[in-house]
Amino acid sequence: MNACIRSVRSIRGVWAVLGTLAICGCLPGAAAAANTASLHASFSPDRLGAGTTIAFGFELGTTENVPPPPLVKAVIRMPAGMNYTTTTLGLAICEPGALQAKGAAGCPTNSRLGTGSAFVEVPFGKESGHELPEIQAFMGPPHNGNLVVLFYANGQEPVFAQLVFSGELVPSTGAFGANLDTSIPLIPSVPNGPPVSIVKVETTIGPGKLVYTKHVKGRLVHFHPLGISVPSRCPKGGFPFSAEFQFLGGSTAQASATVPCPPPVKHVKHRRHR
Amino acid sequence: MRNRVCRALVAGAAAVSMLAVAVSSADAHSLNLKESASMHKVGGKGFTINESGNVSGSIKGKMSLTITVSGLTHVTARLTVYPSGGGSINGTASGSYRVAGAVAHFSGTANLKGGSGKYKKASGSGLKFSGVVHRGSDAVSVSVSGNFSY
Repeated sequence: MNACIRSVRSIRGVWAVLGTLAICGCLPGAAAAANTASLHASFSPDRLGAGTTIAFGFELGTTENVPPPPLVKAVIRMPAGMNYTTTTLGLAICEPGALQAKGAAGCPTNSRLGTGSAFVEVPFGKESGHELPEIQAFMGPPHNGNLVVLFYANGQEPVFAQLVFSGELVPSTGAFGANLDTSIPLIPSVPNGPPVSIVKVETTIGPGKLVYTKHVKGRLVHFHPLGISVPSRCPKGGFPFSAEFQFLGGSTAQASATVPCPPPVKHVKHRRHR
Repeated sequence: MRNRVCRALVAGAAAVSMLAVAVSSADAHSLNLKESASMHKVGGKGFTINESGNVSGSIKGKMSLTITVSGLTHVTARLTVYPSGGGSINGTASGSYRVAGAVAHFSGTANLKGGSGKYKKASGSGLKFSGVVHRGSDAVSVSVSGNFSY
């Protein structure tokens, strides 16, 4: 594989060829190494029935300690019972075309759903990894009646990429209430270059520090949207999350995580003073 | 003699049953409903929103509506119409639910069954049921249309 990379580095003018090479096995992680994945998730605040910000992140790698192949699809499964009814997140819709053309500024304030970041590995050089510091999530136009989350990744240096990709929140069954099915485009390392490998993503969906606006009696008022609610009952063992990742070339990896049941709320007894 | 009595009884019974049918059809009303209501949130918990508001159309009055969203894309509802002339009409509905930015649309079918006062025998099935939830305020616009009898 090193020989492969060295030879590729010697012909930087043919980056486009690398996309093909990635499929045939020359790029990181595409050899015999098995892909690995880990997932974590949390609620903030972590209270039963409360509107919350869902934070989740994943790390991808290989058993050979080389970067995995480029990620092309991620399915994040959310626990059953999450309440999407009462949330006021995504009161406006961001159009993918406007997001692509103008970046985050092209979307209404009230379409923001969360923020995040990602770390990627470029398939050349000695650098260990690069951060795509700005990933933002927006409410997109619904598809087949399902909620759509638009992700905007803004990379400048050395990974130059302004990417828009979407995840569709699809109803699920059993322990999981919904799947966020996200197709991820290949992220070029340089214009027309080979795709990078995503090795780590951290993101939130929820009010967090989001501030929305609305007009009340002619005045612009700022407010914090209500988050998706944590189920009012915690299943035995906690709230399950799981993820399935699909890489360029067809290999996959799975991971799961559990958000522990929050401690019961302590009711303070008020003594009656006479 | 016995045959004459028998024929008289049969004729009498037929007359009574025809009379009953006539009375019944005189009592039954059918109506092509075309109702719409603008409602505001009066309560709710979890996946359920309770709404109340004025209804207008074939029947005018007030309406209460309880909407429950299950899964991500399915809605069930219980509704009661309180016509201004008195009585009430009960119904249930179900359908699809989808969020589109500031609003969520729902649509499906409603069944009306029973009530009180002159609507206690209200009946109608497969009525069209649709509406919009304004997500910022939980205000709901809803419409119900179709044939029902009482």
